[in-house]
Amino acid sequence: MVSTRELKEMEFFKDFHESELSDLASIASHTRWKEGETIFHAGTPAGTLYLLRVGTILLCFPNGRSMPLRDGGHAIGWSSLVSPFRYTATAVCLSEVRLYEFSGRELYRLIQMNAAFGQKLMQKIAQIMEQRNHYRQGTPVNIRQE
Amino acid sequence: MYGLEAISAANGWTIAISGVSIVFIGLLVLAAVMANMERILASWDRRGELLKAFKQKPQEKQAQVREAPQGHPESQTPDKISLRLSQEQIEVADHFRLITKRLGKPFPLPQLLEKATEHGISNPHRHLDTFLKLNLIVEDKDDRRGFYKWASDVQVTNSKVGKP
Repeated sequence: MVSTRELKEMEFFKDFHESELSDLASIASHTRWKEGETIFHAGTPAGTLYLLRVGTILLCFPNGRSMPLRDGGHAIGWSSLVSPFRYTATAVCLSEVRLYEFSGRELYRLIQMNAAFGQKLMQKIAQIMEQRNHYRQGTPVNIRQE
Repeated sequence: MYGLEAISAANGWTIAISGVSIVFIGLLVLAAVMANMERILASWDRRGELLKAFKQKPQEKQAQVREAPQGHPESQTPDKISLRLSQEQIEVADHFRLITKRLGKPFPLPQLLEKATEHGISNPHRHLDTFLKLNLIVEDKDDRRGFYKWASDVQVTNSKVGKP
């Protein structure tokens, strides 16, 4: 059970209204992952958006680049809301990790019911895509890839 | 003896007031529990973290502190930062260095983890997380962002050395 208050504390949801957070809370669930576990693999169908609560996740891109995400409301799995709905990175837990999990299908239902909410959410997703764009780029020529 | 007189004689008023008080206090407690159920359940969900924070060994806490060079005999070079690690962390860091030597500079973290797991290093993910947190392993710049290298300004020392 996820409460509206919990989501309100996340930086990712700071611009969202109480009613929107309440809707989000109703479709959210807690998940827990152990150190070394893989949350999802790059290239697999993306059906879930996650929000990091506690722990460190390493996003590993197929080109060899990687970025650690540590605590504080980082969103992972934005591909669940963007065509072609396949994860662009592999998410590996570097520590015990706790996440909020949102079904992509349920999020779409909320977006269809509330256009303003949809716009806000997609703006956030666009920001994340922009921030991580560099990491999805090709491998520099001087990096050895095995 | 009948009626109110009988009630008074048998402490009926006291018993009635006590009964009502007990019921109302019970209802108040129940209401307080229900009002705070969300917090209680949230704490229950986080019981692992709370216990871990409570039980965290002082040595581990110390290893996570990045210290300034002043006052440490091993930090002679002014531009080097002394970093105290446990014996296990130093051993893992040495293993990681051997692996990254073969991977080249800068190196990809996924391959480092893959090789470390193949070599049977214990808890490579946790150790990598610690080294990243301590800035012992740092991200490269510009077009090599997303690849990593060992920090050149850090000198690792054993946390047990030089302790009374």
